[in-house]
Amino acid sequence: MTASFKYVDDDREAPRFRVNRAAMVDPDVFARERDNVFNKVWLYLGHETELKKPNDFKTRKVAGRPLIFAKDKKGDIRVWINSCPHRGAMICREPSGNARFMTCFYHGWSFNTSGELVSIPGDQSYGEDFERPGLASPAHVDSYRGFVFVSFNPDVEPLVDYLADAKEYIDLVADQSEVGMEVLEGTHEYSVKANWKLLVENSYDGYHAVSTHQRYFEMVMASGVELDASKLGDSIGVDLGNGHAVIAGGPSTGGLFGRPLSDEAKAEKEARFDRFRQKYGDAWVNRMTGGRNLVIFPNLVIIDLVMGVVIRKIDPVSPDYMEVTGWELVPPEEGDELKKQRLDNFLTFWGPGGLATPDDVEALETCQRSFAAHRELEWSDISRGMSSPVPLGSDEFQMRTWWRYWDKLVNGVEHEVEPHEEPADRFKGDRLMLQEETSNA
Amino acid sequence: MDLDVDVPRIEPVRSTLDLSGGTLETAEIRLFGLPRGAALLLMDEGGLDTLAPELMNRLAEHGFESLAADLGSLALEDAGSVTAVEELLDVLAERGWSRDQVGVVGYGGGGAVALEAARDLTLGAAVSVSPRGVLDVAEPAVRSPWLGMFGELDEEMPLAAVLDLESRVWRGTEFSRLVVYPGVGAGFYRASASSLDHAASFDSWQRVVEWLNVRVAPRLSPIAERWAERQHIHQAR
Repeated sequence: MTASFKYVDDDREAPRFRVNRAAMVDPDVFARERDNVFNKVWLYLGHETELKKPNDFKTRKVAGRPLIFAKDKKGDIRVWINSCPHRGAMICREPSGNARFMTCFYHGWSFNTSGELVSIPGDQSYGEDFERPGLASPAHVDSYRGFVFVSFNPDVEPLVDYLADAKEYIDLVADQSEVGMEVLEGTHEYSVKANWKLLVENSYDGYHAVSTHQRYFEMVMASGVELDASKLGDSIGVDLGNGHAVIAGGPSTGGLFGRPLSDEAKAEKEARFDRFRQKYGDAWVNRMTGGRNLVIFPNLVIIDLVMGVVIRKIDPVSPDYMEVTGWELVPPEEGDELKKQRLDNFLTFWGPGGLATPDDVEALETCQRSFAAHRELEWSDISRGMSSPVPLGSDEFQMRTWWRYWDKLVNGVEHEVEPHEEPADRFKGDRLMLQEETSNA
Repeated sequence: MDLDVDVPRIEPVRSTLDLSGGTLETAEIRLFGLPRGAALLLMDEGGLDTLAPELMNRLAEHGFESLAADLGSLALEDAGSVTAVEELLDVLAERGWSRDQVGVVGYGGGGAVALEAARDLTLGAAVSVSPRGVLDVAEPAVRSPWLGMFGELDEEMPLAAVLDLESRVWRGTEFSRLVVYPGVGAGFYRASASSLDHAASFDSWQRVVEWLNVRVAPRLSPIAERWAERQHIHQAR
């Protein structure tokens, strides 16, 4: 299906790249996104380490569907539609917990974490041959390095193929622990009165950092950091295929954000990365030390910045409203001092109580309010860096990559790949296996 | 622990059991129909005359048959305790209860035995209410889901000891949770006019029932059993 209305203006001659603001307000677009994107591709559900013990569960919403994300009695990850196959009531109404059996409070049907129906009150009334239904599940569930995805499309391609080159950037994050990266208990949950795609853009928008987050940088400088703005330029935008893209920071960007570490924390961090060098080689670890803002199409954000890895899931609710959930991914083996400073740096930047996230929310909500005039001012410009030999992190190449894939899925419009030169070698070092894996990641 | 409402009361049947570690006083409530599950109550000396009848009636309201044992008459060391629990589970097995259909709930000294049972046996669930001597339980990493509840003012279990126990129990394969009730002592689970005691007593009982309800495997109805059998045969083909 090709829409006659043009949502993405990808003019290579000018060059100029624009997105029609109707894409942010139109309920028909929102409905097509649900059908052609969220019902078709792989979607992030949660991280395996959120479920620590057999029969642990979390309830989540993915593509509008209520899901139970569980570890069954044997320790296998299971995902169930959170609805009783009898008459529809939610089986599980808690956000998280541990239960081997979940009983529907409506009529008392009971299911185990393997999805099997174990008891029906008064089941003799159903007769001997009644087919006892178990819990329903999404068409596919799979994981990569602990990141669990679901797809509601029976014909979806394998997850490893869908992730394409984004796998390498997940590896750069997952390799940062000797025992396996772990999601900390607790979440950031907030909502934004804006179209969900605005937060996708914002999540790897290097251009806005200094202007929008001035207050944060003033705080960092007041803590004694001499901010070297030239390091902001040591990053590039990379197209990872299938709409995924990343801002990949060079090694100098690792310490760009955040308050300075204590000597003790700095020493521990250096020692840890020395061990990684022995295991994976310098080229890979140099890449690990840099920051990265990764978006897995359509709505998973993994940002490795400010000493903390944030996993962000963006859920569209309506054209002008989204819900956001954020988690922190950490190496659990860190010492107390380094952990304390990681948490401090994470929380002063991210989340509804941080010094950066509220700025972003304000920016996005003003965008959305202004889109009421989308007929008078039709286009948003996302052209920055189209002429650059290699697109920088402060350019908008990564967003264009996302929008082209979005236009393909939602409107059936194919776009040519935007040509650029190969990035420098420091952005391409391979992961070596110089020592045996000890990680369970 | 008086009931607030007037409901029919079941008088537990008292008997004596000869176990390998000695003779044990027991009380039992059996239910007709298709009971939800079974509970094994481990009580301190005299508990069958004081606390147990009320607890057993409350469990019956939730569909649980129960067998209560007075452990006071036995001199139980670590291994011997678990052996006694296994022999009591055998009594329940005669009524058709498999171990994953049983929740073991221990009060006071019985609480430490419940933790030992959770450590050594695969049960539906285990609960220790204000356990005594629980710090002496060696390597308490659990293989059955275990809930421990304590009073903040319990001199035997200062908060640091509870936290230490929590981390040692958590090393086990199964889920565990420790709860400390603020401003109350070791007897928090008994009814009291004090508001903090009353809150702790009410909440701790709710937790016992919920812990069992979401973990103890239900007994299959005859129709469900036959259906499961057919599924098993179908899958084997």
